[in-house]
Amino acid sequence: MSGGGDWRSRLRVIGLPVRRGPARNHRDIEQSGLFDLEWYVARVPDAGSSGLHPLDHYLTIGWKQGHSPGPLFDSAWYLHRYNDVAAAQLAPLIHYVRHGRSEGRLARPPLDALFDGFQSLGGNCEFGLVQRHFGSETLGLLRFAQVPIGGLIAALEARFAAFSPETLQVEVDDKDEYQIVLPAYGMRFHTDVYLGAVVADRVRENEGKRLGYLKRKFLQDLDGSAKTFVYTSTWIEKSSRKSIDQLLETLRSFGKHRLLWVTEARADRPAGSVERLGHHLMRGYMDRFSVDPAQCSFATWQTLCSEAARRLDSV
Amino acid sequence: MTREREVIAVLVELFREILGDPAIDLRPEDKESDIPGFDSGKKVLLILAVEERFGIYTQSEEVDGLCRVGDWVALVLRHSTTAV
Repeated sequence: MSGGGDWRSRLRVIGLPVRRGPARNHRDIEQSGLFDLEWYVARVPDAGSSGLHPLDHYLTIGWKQGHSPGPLFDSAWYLHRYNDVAAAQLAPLIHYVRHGRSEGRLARPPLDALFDGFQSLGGNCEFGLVQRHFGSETLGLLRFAQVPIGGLIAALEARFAAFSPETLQVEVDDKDEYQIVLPAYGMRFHTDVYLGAVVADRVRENEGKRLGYLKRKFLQDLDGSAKTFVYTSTWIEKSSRKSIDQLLETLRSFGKHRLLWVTEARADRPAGSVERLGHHLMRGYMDRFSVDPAQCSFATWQTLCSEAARRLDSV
Repeated sequence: MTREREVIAVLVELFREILGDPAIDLRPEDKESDIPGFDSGKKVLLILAVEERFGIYTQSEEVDGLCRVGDWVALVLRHSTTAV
């Protein structure tokens, strides 16, 4: 997983060249643990066929193409953040391990800021929990909601017209948590309030106020500057490309928004990778989905969102 | 008492009530995330309480920019035209 260890034997095992560039570069970077060989080769197809050691590929070609050496260092962000490094035309990872780290520079964007840059549209609450894990406490109407894509599109098209305190219903799930249900759009909102703590009427009143404010804010967000929305297709609902295109079209009717559609990884699309499907649509791949913090794949979410942010910056 | 201090005094009252902690004290440099019990759900209730108390109406991008207590004070002062 990490960049350390016996590279020569590992490269032979996966059939890549073992020829190496300047020894000092390799030594410094190997010691940093920031070059992740398998990660890099999986995301940069040319690296495996260039005849170069993958690290030499990164140091001579890859960083200029905007590639990062691993999930813990963001080349494009580093160059964007530190103009003096960009002006020096030095491989950003070399600068970081020799100078930047001791100068207190950052290897990647602060993670709460990274996750602040995305707004969840559902389909479940996993991404909301991931944001919380990384210190991002965004205010999103659908952050902790189960949202079928058909209902989401209908709600957007109607600007949530069927959403009012009178239309919200209170139910209790099998874990005794109160949930707010909006039947018109098939939406179900978590409350984090449990049976016995308060009576249902109080839940309806409090959540009606809270969700009412979040609806107002969500509509302001839709009408405002460009946002990157995240829709996750989980085991609950396998969204089709057609419905995702329809969702994007609906979002774009409000403003210059973008959509990150997150699905399960495939053999040709490793977990954490991001594929651009159009100017405003990206598809990210996860190894697994879980709303249980003990099972949630936080590291993959981090890799995926870093890659998506990098691609957005490069547009 | 300056207007900034007046606003902070009201914020302390609202934060204590909504976060359920009478020991909360606020300084302009305090980060939201360092305030005990603060999370996104409580933030919504705090915004609604601030809007009602000061008679203001916030915009989404202003709320997204709230990070420290000083940001909340600036938000109120920017909107309110009458004394606290």
